[in-house]
Amino acid sequence: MIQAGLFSAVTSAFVIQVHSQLQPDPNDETAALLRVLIYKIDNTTFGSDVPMLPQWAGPPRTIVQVEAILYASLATSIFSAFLAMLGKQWLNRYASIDMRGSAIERSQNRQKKLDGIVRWYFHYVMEALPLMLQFALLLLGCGLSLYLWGINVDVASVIVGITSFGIAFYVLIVVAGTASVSCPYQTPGAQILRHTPSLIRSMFRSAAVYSNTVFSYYTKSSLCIQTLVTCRGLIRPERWSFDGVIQLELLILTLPFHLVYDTHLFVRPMYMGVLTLLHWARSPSVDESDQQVVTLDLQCISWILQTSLDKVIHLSTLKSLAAMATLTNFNPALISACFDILAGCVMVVGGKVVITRGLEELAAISDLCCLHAISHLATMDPTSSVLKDVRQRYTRTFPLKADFEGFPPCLSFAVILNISYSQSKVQQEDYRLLSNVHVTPVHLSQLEYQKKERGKVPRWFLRFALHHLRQDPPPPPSVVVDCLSIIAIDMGCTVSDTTTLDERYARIQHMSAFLIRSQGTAGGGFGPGDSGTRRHGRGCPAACNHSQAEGHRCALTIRDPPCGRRAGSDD
Amino acid sequence: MPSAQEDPRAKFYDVYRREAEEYDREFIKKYDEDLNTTLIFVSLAGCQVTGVDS
Repeated sequence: MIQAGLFSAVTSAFVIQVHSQLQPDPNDETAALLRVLIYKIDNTTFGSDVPMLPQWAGPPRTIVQVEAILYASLATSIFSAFLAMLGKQWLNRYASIDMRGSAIERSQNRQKKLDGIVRWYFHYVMEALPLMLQFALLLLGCGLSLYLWGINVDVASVIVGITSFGIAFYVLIVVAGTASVSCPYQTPGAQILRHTPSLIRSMFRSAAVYSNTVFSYYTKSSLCIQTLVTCRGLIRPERWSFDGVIQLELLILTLPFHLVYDTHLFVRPMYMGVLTLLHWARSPSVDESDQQVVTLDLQCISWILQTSLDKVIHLSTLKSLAAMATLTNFNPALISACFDILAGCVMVVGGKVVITRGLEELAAISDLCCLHAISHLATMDPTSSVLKDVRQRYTRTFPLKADFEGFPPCLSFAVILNISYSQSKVQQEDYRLLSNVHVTPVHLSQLEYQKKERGKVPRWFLRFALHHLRQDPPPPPSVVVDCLSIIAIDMGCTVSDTTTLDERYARIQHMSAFLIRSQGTAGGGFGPGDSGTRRHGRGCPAACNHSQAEGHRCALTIRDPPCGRRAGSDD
Repeated sequence: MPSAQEDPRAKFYDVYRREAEEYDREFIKKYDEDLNTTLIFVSLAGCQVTGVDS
């Protein structure tokens, strides 16, 4: 209420006192007329001066500048007041519970609003308000100095001095705020400056894309000019030459193609934008609304994981996450949050990884969630930058030769590492390095298999295996072996021992033969005899390729209901 | 049908509601005070400008 009253007072004062030196002063005119009148009565009053009616030659230049600056300041401050008023309304709208429904629905609604706040840069708009006011104040100072300079230089120098001191002080606190986070004199400008390096990087990236287009336009326009020049040259017949004509023809012929291509480059983003808009406008079907609930749940979960640092809250959140059947459209930042929680639960003491006392449950469940989410992301989007980020976090948290002995979630840990390593193309040879802990996805799928009475490997794990088998070029042989083992476990085979790689090779050949036989297909497996001599990764490439080809067939045939389920795995 | 104590989703949303209330209170308080300051400042600065203008 205070601000409303003050504001209306300002407005009324402003309306009354609008007149200024921009208009001719009526007093001057009256005085001049009086002089003329007196002169008419007695023409000796002014000596030899003959009073004339003055012609108003418009306002002085300085006054126009001063007025412009002052009105700019006023307009800016009033505009920011307008935004502030709207901002209060927006905040109230955010705070109000504008729907009926259960507590869960209301929470989801709140999460939707919060996501909107992030997506529409609400924080930036709010932070921009003080900036606008500071700008208005600066304008006021400049205008005042300019105005007083024309009247009295002594008075003006005081104002100029104080204004420049204010500007210097502001620049100083912006620099200080940028340099030190703990500096109490923080301003919006300092925060922007602190994020400038990343901003500049992203701006450069988008600028590169645009400049490409612009550059091609530039070359096209220079082509046009060249065409014109050539045409001009051709006007004079004495300058005609074979080269000139050929060049001109080429230019004229190719120009439309260039132009069409460039227009296509510009039009396509717009077309995509229209498509997206149409997609939004379409009302969601029943199936989509189901998916939306899951997505909202995931949004809520990732928000709370990123916001809260309370272990109890983490525990119940992760429990809810672990109970979710599917992960669709989840925010990749969820993985980083899960991994951070997991890393917060363990310590590395002398190269040995131990769980902090009292956090065993949290470690186990965050480990499970992390694995779940990572494998999902690795299947859906293997090139995601989040996977790279998790790998970096992993190498930062754990030393290379960390000892996972006696560490309950060590199995899934190794799988996390395996997934993130095998995804990066450069590090593909390192896959073998990681198997020195003798832990593979096979172990884990066996564990999961034993846990469940249904006798099925989790779907996401199977998806992971199938995804790897589908890749081109195929993953390293050891990965293929693991994937095939997972599929075999899912079909009910008992995979007994996976310690040595050569044994696994032998077994996988048995298995593929078994699988093919159980499908009733006449497929020749390898003889087990030649497998013992093959070294992992260094065997003859033809044999490896053959084994991978078998793998593909297995992956394909698994979609039919297996007739040999629960049969013994060994011949 | 699991009871509210056992259902992890219901339990999670119970926790979520408490966290969200706390967060929102802070969030709204921060910006509300900022906006109040802005409005008072605008009225004072506006007074200044109109004073100079006349």
